Amino acid sequence: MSSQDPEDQLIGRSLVARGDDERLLTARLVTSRRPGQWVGAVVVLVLFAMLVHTVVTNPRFQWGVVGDYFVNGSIMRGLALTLWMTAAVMSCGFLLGIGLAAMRLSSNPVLRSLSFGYVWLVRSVPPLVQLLFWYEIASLYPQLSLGIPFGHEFVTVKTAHLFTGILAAFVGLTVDIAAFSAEIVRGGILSVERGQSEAAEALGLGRGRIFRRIVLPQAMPAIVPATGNLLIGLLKATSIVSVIAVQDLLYSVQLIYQQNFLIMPLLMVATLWYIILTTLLSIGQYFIERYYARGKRRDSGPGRGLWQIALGNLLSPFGQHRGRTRNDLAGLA
Amino acid sequence: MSVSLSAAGGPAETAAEESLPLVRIRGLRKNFGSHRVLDGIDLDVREGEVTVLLGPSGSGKSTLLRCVNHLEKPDSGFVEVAGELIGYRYDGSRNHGGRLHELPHRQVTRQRARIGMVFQQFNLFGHMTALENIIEGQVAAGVPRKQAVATAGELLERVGLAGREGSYPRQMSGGQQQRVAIARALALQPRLMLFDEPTSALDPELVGDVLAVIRDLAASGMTMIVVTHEIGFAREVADSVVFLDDGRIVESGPPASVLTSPSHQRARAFLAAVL
Repeated sequence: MSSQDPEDQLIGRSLVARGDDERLLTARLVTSRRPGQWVGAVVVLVLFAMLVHTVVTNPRFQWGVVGDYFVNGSIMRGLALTLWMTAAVMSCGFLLGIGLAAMRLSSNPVLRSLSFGYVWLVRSVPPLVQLLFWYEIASLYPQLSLGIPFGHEFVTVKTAHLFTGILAAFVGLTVDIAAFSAEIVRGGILSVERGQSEAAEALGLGRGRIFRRIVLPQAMPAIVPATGNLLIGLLKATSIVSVIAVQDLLYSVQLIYQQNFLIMPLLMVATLWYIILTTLLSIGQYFIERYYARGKRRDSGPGRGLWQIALGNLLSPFGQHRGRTRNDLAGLA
Repeated sequence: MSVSLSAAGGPAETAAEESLPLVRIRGLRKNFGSHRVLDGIDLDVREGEVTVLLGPSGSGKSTLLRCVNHLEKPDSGFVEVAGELIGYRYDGSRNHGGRLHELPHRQVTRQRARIGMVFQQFNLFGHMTALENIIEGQVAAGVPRKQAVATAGELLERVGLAGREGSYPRQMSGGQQQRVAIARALALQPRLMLFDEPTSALDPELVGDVLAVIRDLAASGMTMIVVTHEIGFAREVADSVVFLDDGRIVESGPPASVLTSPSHQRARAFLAAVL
């Protein structure tokens, strides 16, 4: 098409001039005013200031007490349990989830149905109920044995001795996380185009290598955000183990305030720790996402940094919309 | 059949193999559900020849191509490349006629490594740079990384993209991506190259660069099967043109005769529409 060349457009075509063209060309652009935005912002800021004021000045928060107990020994032990429980459940649950996702996507109908059934059942039962179930499993199976199916038993152990609160908590949460990670991984794998594994097959790559080197890395951008969400959810969900007397962060706090009745300040201690841990996890997630986004952007330079995103989110009501949208579109393109 | 897919064009090949075409396709049939896509294809491609597959969409060209490296499993018939059955092993020891046993995945993988394939949608690995794309197959086949990188550099130069090792697919135009895809397919020194509509997803102005690379490849003596709608390219480069319609070969021969005076009615109508 000749219209691609600006010179061609001018040749043989005269432009019609009008008197005020010059003034229009030199005029300054003024963006439209949005008084509603300012009113909304002021209202929200006032409410926010009131909230901060009351949290700081209300003596019943007893910030001094919060400070005293913040790094208290028994609370630190609870924190440690929350952390390793989260780490153990997430690692085991996620590995199990990858296996379940592979089963669900396999060509074997028995494995496929098994995986589907597992996810269906586990997602249908509230985690608290599962936890109580595993804690009371001894009433269903008083002893567990290792041996040949329907045959000889080698080792037998009393279930009540095996399934302490901690093991029940670990098993219950892992079973739950496995079901949810299976769905996340399956979604991620399905998001990778079929052509990618076909090209890899044509190159003579083996199945394992195709999954490890081609499919999984490209599924990660879809898997990481959802998994970060799941992990943060799990970190907080570990607090339900307090119902079966496992001494996590929340239960340690409860043990203390049941003796000294400083309920609110001690709950604030737990809350602050959960906030700190969640923040750290979010930052970690940001860097993992950035790593897996390589090859996704057109420009090879660094993308929007952590601070730019934080600032963008804070400032967006005040006219940053356009810049942000353009950046996001560039990221999508 | 003990002849293996050895490195391209070795002088040590037996006289028996030289007389055989590099690719022999016999009685190939393939159904998708109740739809018959390939209906008894017989085709020979000689070493060093370029065969262009033409035909309306849905005529089975791509499926035929994908059967050659076993991306599709034929329902009956067979494909032989360099005297080796693709995807199957013949067992004639039984009394009640012979059997074709499906090969283990590992062996199919080994066969595929000697057949290069280029796709319509390029299918470059999006999370890898051009260099990583090109060396992946070699590294998987056990070539030392240093040697693979050197080969990749030469190949990039050959397709006119010297120095673009570090670019990700999304930072390149469609034409550049397709040329990297060709380099990737060449990295394992295939004996046969398959092109599945290599220019159909490209902007018109980018088609020329890709065709030039394929033309050079043909001139260097590479055996190729090309599915394309570029009639001019077929006329210029093809040693033989095969016209498919409804899963059958309705016309085949040198481009001069098939493209200028096709005898089959369907081929005449198709050529009138695309020219």
